[in-house]
Amino acid sequence: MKGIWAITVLTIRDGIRGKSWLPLIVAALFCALLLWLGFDHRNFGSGKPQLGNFNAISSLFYFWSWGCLFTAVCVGSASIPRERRTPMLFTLPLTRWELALGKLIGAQLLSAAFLALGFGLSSGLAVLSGVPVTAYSGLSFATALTVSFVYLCLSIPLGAWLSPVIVGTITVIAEAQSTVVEGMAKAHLISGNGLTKALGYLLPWTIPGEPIRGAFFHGTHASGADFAGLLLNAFFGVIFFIGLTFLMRRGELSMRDSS
Amino acid sequence: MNAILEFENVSRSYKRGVPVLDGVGFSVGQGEVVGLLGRNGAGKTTLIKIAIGLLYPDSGSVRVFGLSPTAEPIAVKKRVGYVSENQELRGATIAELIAFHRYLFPMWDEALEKSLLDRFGLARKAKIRHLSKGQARQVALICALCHRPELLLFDEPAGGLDPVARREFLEASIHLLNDEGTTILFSSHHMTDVERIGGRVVLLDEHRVKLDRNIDHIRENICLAIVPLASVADPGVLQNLPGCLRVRKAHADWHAVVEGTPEVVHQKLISSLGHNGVRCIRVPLEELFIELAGSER
Repeated sequence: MKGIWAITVLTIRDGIRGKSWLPLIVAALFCALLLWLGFDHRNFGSGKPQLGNFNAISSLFYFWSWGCLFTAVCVGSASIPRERRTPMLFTLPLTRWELALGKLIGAQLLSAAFLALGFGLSSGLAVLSGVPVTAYSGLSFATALTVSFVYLCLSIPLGAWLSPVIVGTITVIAEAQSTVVEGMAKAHLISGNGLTKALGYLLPWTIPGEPIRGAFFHGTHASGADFAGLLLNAFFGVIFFIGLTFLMRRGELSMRDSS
Repeated sequence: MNAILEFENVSRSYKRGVPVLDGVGFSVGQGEVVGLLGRNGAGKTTLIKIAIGLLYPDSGSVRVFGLSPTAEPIAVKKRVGYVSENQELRGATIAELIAFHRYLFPMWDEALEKSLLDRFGLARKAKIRHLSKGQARQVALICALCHRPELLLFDEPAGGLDPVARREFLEASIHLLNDEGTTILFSSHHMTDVERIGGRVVLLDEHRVKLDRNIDHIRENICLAIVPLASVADPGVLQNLPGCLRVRKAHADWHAVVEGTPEVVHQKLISSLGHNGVRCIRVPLEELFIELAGSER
């Protein structure tokens, strides 16, 4: 437990010092610019600006969340490769379990704090504007949290073998595959049910992105089943994390080939 | 003397068929200071990384305190201090970095920490990114020492430092530690480092241990024999001399590094080659290192 806590604190400090909050600033500035121009994420390409409290606040949370998720992918993908490159933590009396779990907890706490900040900001604006903060808004926050958690569950242990860019790519593809495959099937780009099913078994995540897009829209509702679905996805993340960390607990990790 | 660290027939390669270490074997006893010498790429870093369990040998075995560093890494790492040239220091300040190490090591010696910080003139509040290379290495040393390790592994600990910082670092670290009976294995490609520190020298060359002798023995009992090329056509004749460690061509001569005093080696050469023109001299350790590990010229 001592080792896990030490790594958790180190990860949070590294994340803050490493300016992992920068994507949030970029996302917020991007959002402010779009809103100022009269656009929100719902009418990209439509050419019809619809500035309104509902969409504007939802857009703020939407862009903020993607900033957080981008941060989570970057932090998760680079965390173990960094240790392999300049082995400091690997020379200390820490098990690889402690290392991976400490990094997961630290990165998730960091990501959750950033998301909570964005959600708090958006909710505050909503309340000030008289927009109701509903259970659906809570679902959007929980969805963003789940996505970041799954990203981290995959990217941290995968970093034991792969480079950050490959880890990041694999992680995003693994999580988004159901949406991508579904979209491709709808566009008749793929037809085989077998492939869809196989991918579904192999990479079981089916996290709907819609709640993140419309956190503060009217007429959208959330049910207990939606939250249960997110929990199931998080559970799959935990299973993958345990499996991958189990594989990395022994055996040599690729260090820089200096002799 | 109890062996603290044992390498037995260790081989390791990064690419198939290109060995970095090939059958390396030696042991380090309790309280011994061993300098691991070799040119760049000789396998020094690989061997030290194997000792701390960062790399696995392809074949052979490594025992640290009688344990395998890969099978029981925690038990080994608790008792080992490690400083390397490329070590990254994490944390905003020295105090934060030290606190992280103190938290992980229950046996942390705060009195030693304080005395080393004073000795190196380091302020706890100093920012890590503002430290000079030499200061950063001193901080790494404090982190490696204050849990009172029984074995210290230094991988080019003074690499990249200017001559003054280099000397200060080595004198402060290795002498201080050795006085307390800590076992030390340190790698370097500077013979002067080894000469200053004393102890034993293990020279790695061509993936193997080429020389494993006490520094005083090397000074007194190894010499360089210079034989004109015209006198000996086949270097095998020199190589077959008892105690011959290496023969290489150097301009118009053969240079042979031979165990024995210059007088004794000279006599041996006269009697086996049957002619004169042979010179045997003592050379500085730096020269000897070049003769043993350098290429032909």
